Amino acid sequence: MKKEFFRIATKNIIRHWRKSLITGLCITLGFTGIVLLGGYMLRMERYLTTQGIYLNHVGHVAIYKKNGLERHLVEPLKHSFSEREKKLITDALKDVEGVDRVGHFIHGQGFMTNGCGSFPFLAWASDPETESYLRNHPLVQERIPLLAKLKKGRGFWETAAEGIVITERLSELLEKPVISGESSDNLEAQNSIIEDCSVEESRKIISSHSGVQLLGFDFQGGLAAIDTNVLAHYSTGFALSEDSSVLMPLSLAQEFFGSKRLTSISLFLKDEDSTQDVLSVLKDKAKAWNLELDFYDYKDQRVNPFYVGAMMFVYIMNLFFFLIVCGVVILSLLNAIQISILERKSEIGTLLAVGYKQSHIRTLFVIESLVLATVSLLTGIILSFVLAMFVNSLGIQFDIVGNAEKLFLVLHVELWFSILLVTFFMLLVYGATHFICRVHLNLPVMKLLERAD
Amino acid sequence: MHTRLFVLRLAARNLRLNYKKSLAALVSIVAGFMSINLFEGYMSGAEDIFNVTYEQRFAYGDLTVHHSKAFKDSVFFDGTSYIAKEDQDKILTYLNSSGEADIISRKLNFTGLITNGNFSTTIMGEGIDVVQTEAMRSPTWTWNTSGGKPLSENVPGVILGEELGRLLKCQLKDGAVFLNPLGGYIAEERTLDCGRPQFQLSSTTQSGQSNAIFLNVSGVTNTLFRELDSRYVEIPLESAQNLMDTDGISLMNIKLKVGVDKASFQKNLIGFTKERRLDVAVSSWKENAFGIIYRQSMSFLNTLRGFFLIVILLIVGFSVVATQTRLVFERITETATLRSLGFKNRLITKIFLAEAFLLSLVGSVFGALLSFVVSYLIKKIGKFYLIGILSEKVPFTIALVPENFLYSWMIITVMTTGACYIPLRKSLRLSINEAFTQH
Repeated sequence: MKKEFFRIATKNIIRHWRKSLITGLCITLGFTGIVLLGGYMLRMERYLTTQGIYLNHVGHVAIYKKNGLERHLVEPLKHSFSEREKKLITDALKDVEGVDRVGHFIHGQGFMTNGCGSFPFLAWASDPETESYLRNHPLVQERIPLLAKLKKGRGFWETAAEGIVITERLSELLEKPVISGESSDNLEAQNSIIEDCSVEESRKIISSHSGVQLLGFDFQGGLAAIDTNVLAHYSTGFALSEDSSVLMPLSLAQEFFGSKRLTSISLFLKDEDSTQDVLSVLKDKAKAWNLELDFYDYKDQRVNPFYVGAMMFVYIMNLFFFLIVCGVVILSLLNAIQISILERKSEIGTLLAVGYKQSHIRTLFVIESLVLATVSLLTGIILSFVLAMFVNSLGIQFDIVGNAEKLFLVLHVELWFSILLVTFFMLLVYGATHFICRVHLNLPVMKLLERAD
Repeated sequence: MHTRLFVLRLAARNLRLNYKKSLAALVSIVAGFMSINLFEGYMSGAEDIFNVTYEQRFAYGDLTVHHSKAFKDSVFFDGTSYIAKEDQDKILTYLNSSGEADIISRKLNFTGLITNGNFSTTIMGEGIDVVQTEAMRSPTWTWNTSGGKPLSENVPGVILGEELGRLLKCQLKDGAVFLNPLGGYIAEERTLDCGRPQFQLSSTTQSGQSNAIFLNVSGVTNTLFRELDSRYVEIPLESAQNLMDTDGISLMNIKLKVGVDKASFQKNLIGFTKERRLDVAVSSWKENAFGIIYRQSMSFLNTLRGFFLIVILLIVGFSVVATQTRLVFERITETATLRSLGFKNRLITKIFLAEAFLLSLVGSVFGALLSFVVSYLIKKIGKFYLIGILSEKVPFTIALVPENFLYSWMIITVMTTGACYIPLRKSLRLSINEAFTQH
């Protein structure tokens, strides 16, 4: 019987091929639109996750002293790890399964001056091995290679020379186009004393060498100052931190802040999906350390606010799009089935007159819709893969709100997402057909056999 | 006129007679209208929020004037490119004599340190013309503090970014509630306890000397941007000029009188500054470094709109084409009868197009009503959401703008009448005999 129904349904689709084509196109287009937008969402998710975990030093899990995340800038001594605490935690982390690397960081602030003007900075300090690991991680190279690449020069993780890496815009504010090691770096000018900043000659001296001074407070609250050189320029990726961000080696930060203490310890995992498992193991282990700690995973808004905010925006937009597209597709489908029933009223009446049950007719329509949907969705899968490949090959660049750099539009069309969506669409088609059949087939045979008006 | 009325009456009668089939087309039209209108409404809502935020909350007004070297690609001041007093006076004289500027407020950006004796941290500050800036913020953001009082209620004082306030142990008892979806706080003092009320602000003057001033905390404000919120302070312009030992400013914001043409005013002001050889740039926040987030957001939304419109219009278009084609071909004997009675093809086309027009009109009216309902429900639910770098959630709003209704209706009308015209032409090409025999 079912086989027979399937044959009749297929025949009907072919017989009314124009109508079927239009309904099928509605389903294909709606499906393709959502898959492509989903591909964009996945691209954003991967870009921002990788940026947050590796380039922003958050790690998959970040460990701070209690309230350290909020207060480490104003009370660094109280909210940082001592050497003993660092050793205790690092040793304990060695036997935690799934941990690829443990990163030690100092996060601090101060002023950077060129002798005439001073600008506030926020610095992340790490050891060269860790920074090298972060910037050369396979996921970073695959998903955000442009962002990981320095704008100019070589970082402290790539060279034996000691110095700092500053953002391109901070270098413009400081009038420091020259980097250490460059042939134009005038080492003698670094020792010149600038007496009058309003004189053009002073500006020339400032911009002729890579030397800068860092000023601020050490962890104990005393004044801190240090001379250093700019090794390279980089981008943080965030529009509003491009004017004040600095990367420096841990040793230099320890010298500047007068302490060997650490602000945070981050865990970089082998597998992103094991984050919650590692976090719970970590919390269990921490009970034995007798320390008051805060743990954050990389999806926590407090430690990775840009990721959470940007993704929230994308989710809202996608949900809005998804609801509207599904609404329009379902209405088009209801419309098409309704027309189909109205057009085939006498045909349905005849079938009922020769002994078919209403449930049989309903099944016939449902099978017809599902066959049509299957063909349309399979076309949609192929179309979305082809379109994604085409778009990806164009090398289009686009902005993320708040990002300093444009990024390539790469649509990550995943089969699992398409299959999930196919299931959803099939349910949608099934429900819509069932509903409209129930509404329109509840008529007496004689009424159905009347000439369609 | 008489024929037009006749056509419309006939079209309305036909729609009534074929109401079941027309209903199917109507559903597609309503869905299409609503989709376009809601998305356009979302974009308009976002634009409204940006306008109020930049023009009032950040007090940039309609136009900003700054040194040509300052704020080039950055919202942070380079610390050296001031507008000198002499140049400010020239610009102010011009603005006052033009009679077109409603409010002129000045700003001086500075960097330095803030301490309450226990904690110190770096700051990025703004000195503002208190009275003029408050007028610029009117009406939505006149009261710009979520805790404590604005500067106008407590001169001289200091306003801290909310996050900076937290760092300096300022306790805000109750958070502020927005006045409306565009923002703004209810104008009432909310308890703010900072322990020691007096703060020291220190900085380095242009001549390289250290300087410090003491101010009592007046309130806290949300600067909207996370990166800024933990470093932002706002003080009166005079205090900032004392601290920096300068009479220069970094920015002059101009709000124009209602009805003044912004483009021509900007052109004239640029002409004046060139004539007087003033080294300044005159631009709108939408064009300069301050508006980067606005431009990125609108560019993103525009791209999404293009994508959205293509998908929605194709789906709705197919659906409308399918129903209209069927409606036209089912009535092919009717058109043949009309033609045999002497109706010209042109008149028959007019009747059918009038039907499609009426259908799109009725569909659009229903679509508009449903848009009102959806917009009202969204407003009632009051959903706020986070966007990227913002430190404050923004409301999800669907603005109901007449232009959007008109735009959506026009698209739908063109689509519906087009979908009707193509099959109709085909059916009218058949001879009367063919039409009777084939159908």
